[in-house]
Amino acid sequence: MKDEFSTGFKLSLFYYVFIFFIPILNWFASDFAFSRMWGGMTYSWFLTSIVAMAMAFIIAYIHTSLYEKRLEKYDQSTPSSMKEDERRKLG
Amino acid sequence: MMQTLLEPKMIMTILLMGTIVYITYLTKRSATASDYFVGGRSFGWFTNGSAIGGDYLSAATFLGIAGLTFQLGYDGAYYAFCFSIGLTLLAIFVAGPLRRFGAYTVADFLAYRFHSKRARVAAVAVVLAISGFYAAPQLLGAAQILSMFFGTTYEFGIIFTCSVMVFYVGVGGMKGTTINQALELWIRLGAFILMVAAAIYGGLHYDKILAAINDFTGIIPNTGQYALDGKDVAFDGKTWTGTGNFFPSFWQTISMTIGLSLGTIGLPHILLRFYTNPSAKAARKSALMAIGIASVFFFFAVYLGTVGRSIFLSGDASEQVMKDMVAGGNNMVIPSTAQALGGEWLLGLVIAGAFAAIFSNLSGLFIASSGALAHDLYATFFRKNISQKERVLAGKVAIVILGILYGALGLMVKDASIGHLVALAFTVAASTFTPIFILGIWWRGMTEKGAIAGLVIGLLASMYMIFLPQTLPVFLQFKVPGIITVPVGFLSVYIVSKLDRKVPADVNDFMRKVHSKESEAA
Repeated sequence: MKDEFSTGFKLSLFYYVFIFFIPILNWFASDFAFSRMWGGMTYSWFLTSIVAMAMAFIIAYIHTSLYEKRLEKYDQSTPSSMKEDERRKLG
Repeated sequence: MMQTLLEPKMIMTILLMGTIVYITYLTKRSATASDYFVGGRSFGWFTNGSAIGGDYLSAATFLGIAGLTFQLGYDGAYYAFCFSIGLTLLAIFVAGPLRRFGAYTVADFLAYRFHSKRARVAAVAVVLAISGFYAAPQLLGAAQILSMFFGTTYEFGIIFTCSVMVFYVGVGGMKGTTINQALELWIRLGAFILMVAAAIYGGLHYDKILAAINDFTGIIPNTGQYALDGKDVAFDGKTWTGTGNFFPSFWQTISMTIGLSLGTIGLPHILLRFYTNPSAKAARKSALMAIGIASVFFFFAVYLGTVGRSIFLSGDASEQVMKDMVAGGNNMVIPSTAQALGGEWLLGLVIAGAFAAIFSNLSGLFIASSGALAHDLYATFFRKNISQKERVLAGKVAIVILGILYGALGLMVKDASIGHLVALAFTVAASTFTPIFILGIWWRGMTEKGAIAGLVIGLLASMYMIFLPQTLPVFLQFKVPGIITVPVGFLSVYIVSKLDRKVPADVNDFMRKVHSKESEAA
């Protein structure tokens, strides 16, 4: 539980820093945020409508991968008879 | 008559309806409550991931986001950004533990966590409030499409859509609903992919159209007669591509970011979907797949709203398309843009896709709310020794009642913006179920009284700030009041739990059940 919460919390913290970076950029550095980087695409439009979409998936992908690794490690380290016993206890 | 039936939009819509009826017929046997409410927990990550995507990517995404981008520019795109965050947080904090817990309804979680009927009743009230908020704009979208493209009245559209839903969910249960939702997702995605391909083929590249919109100032050709409020007649591209069109301040933006990003965790129809996986591992993979699909969808929706705006500014489309783009709260931008890009056949596919979006989302809301009425209220309080068959029947009766209730709500929101109404549903969810699920899963110290206080205070605070903002000081008036109501929800749970201190005796067993890797492998 602690491992899982710690991983989730760190990833969410990183994600929210990115999320709040965008409005901070928009409102406190708007000249830069809305200056053009590629054709009419501004930095802010690029971050909000393209990078952010990728970021949502990347964060979830890292979380799922780490969880699967933990599960694999658990499966290798726990004898199957013990797991059966614990499963019975859990009903 | 024959000519109308042979129109592409009619052919596509009839094909969609036929598929729904066929799937519903194939999956109509629900022998047990588990079959009816959670599809026998038999869906793998691909089907359930598609169905979660189908549930989440409602009319608000398919029609509303593009409409908001068309109308508000950057601030509309920011809506999509906020909607895109929530599923990731849900996958991180809730998906796996919720499946390990395993139950039929959202209220089951609270009832078992605290062995409390009062907590169950409070949860049912919140499920119905959120579902009502969410269902009304979906019905609005359906009625607008029917009115615009098939010439029916708004009222007929509401009644027709509710009738389809009562059949679709009432007969098919969760099994039929999940398969329909998964299929409908791919219809929508297919429609979006074709629209994007048509736009790129037509030279409407992202960088170029944004540059054209940004540089445009002056009068938009031929719009004077129908863009009555003037905002679409005299146009300043720099304002559209910048922020401040909808959110007048930094704190308004932050408030919406909090409300929408945390709202997904509290949406009952999305939470319910994780009960339908066979394991927690599959639940996590389902969430990951849904996030991938949603990210692509939001990207497409913003791009297509921009394409719509560039077509509108050029004034090249037919007069009908130009009128449709600004009609009904800008909710018809996607169908109008499809017509401009690919003619009648692409329009037909998009109309089928829009119905698919509305049906799959509404069906999720119907299932979640019918579980709340039949399983949480009727079977718990009125018929304690209810048989499986009677439980299924109660679920079906609940669907009919909900059809009438949602229909009445749909009639009340005729001229509203779909995207904004859904944003308000997210705020209520973020202020009620989100604190309950995050703290209930990760904090042993939460008590029954804390949970009920969180639900009641979160619900009242969000309702008050949404419906009566004018009674508050100006600095507390938020378009999406998440910055106030979400902390209020979390703090209510925390403070009341700390004062109460009556933590359930079996809290460690509960925590072991939802977090242990042993139950993962089981």
